[in-house]
Amino acid sequence: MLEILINDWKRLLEEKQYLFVSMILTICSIVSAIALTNMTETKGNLALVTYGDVNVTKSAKQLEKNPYFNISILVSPPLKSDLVQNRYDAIVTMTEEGTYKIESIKSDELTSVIKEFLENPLSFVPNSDNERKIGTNIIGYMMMFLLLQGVLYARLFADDKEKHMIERVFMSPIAFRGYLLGHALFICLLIFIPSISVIIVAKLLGIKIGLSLVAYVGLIATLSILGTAFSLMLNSFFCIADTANMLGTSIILLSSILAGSFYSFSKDKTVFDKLLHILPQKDFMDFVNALEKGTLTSGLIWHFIYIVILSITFFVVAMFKTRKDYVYHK
Amino acid sequence: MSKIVSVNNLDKSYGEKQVVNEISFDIEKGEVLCLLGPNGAGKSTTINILCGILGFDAGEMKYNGTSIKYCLNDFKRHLGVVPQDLAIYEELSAEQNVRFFASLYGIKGRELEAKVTNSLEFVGLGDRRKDKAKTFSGGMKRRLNIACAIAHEPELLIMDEPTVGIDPQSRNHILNSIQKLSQQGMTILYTTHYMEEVEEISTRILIMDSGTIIAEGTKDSLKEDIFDERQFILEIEKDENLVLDEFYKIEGIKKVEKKEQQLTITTLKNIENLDKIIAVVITSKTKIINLFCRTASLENVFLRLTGKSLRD
Repeated sequence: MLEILINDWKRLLEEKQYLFVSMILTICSIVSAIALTNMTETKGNLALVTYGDVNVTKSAKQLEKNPYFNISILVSPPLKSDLVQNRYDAIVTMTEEGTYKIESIKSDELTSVIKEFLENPLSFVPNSDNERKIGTNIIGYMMMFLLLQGVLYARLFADDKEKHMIERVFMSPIAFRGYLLGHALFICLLIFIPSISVIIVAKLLGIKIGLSLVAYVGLIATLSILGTAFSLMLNSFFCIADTANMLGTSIILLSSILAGSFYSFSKDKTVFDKLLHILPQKDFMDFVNALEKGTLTSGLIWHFIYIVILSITFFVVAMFKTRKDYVYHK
Repeated sequence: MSKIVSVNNLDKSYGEKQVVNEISFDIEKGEVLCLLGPNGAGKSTTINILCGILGFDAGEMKYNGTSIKYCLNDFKRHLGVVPQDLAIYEELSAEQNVRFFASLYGIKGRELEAKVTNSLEFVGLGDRRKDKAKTFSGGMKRRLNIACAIAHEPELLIMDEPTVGIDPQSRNHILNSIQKLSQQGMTILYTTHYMEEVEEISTRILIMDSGTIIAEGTKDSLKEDIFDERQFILEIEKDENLVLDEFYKIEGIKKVEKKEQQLTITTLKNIENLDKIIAVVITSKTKIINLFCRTASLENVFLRLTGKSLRD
């Protein structure tokens, strides 16, 4: 096993660009996650109609300073078509008595948020219970790149198959398990070590990373194992490295986006949401989200166990398939 | 000589297609056994079974008298394989390649370094050991392929067409290396499409066709067994009085041909009649400039047995 691991490392050192690219992608994903999480989200564009009243205009100017809404103060009401064209999310007509009339073609939810804001503009903070926190975002942004790295590094195993090196290796007395575990350990470590190092550096630099370092170790290790097992399984079915690489990349890109790696598309309790739970990434994101918010339930722990079982299954399939193809059997 | 490997009634099929059909042969210690056969004869399947990476449906294979089922790992430890397709890491240096493959046999430390150096020196790549394999010529890559197979000093070396597509210098180097390895006591099983290589290095030959072994023996015995005739070639002058029909009166003569100054006489092999042939020539006052005897080549043997050329 050690011989395979060392040889893989020597081979990869000759193609350092892969290491650099994956390191840069990991750093970029963490930086993007931190930057986007801390960025204040604008809730909407409001047209504030004052009819030129001095007092109303004065109080309207106060509202302009808030960070959550873009406010345009107008003397006369805009056309209704401006709402349709999405120039404004709502038209708010203010009176001198301090009453408001809100006109919007968007959801009632938005109307009530605007109402809440107008009633108490100084202390208004939008409800963020349904939004992801920074740790979940960092893991979500990293997830796709970590899984893709699995496919990238499994290329060494794929090359062994494509260039018939694997046959030569199995003509030696090396144990089959040692060979596959050597590749698996190499891929896993190469995904895990650079990513956790970037997280540790971020923590040391005082950047808010949301979750504890121990949690990051566990979560990144889980993703590394999942990515390794998936890519080995995929490569065990193909003899051409590029075929497995392209298919693996496509599957990971599509499934990660659908699972809400960057943005959650699904709404709770819909059929689509239930279907998405087939994807391990979806279960993983739900688990991380609950872990960060402290709302872990036994159901979510089962989601995590599902990912572990799936990883083991992928690895077992890879072992059986490779064994069937290359190991002496009578 | 003692047997290293014994193969008895080995069968291998892929679905309905029988690729190897009840073949039996032994590999004797210290010999250079050449396995010949046209494409599709079952050579590669036989080699893969011998290398321990392919199972078989029926029959038995023994290593030093023990069934391979019980000593596969021990067998692999004493086996070196030079595969037909280059199996080297192009991105690694020559020494990294050899070191990796030797380490798979459990060799470590100083012993490993010594064996890496020895094998690279042996194939003539000692001065290029630090260079990456991708910078090597085709012949050098072939030699590196061999170095990777011999670094752990195997008892049996299987070489599957190791000289395909290389320059004459590298080919000569490889053939000389095989002879040296044989002199050092290594047993070699060699497959090739080049008959002249077989003539040069073989101590014994197996000929396969359609999954069976159709002939077995030394190159001389094969020629002897397969062909029952030989040819005398005479270069002559002043042959005005020579009458070809006179030769047919001699016992064993099958065919007489004359082209310009060359007389070709085909005769049965086991009949001593050269003196009578010469007597006919001299009687007609013809002068003999040169005389030589042509025996069958291995190519002829192969063609006669399989009906195909080896390169078909």
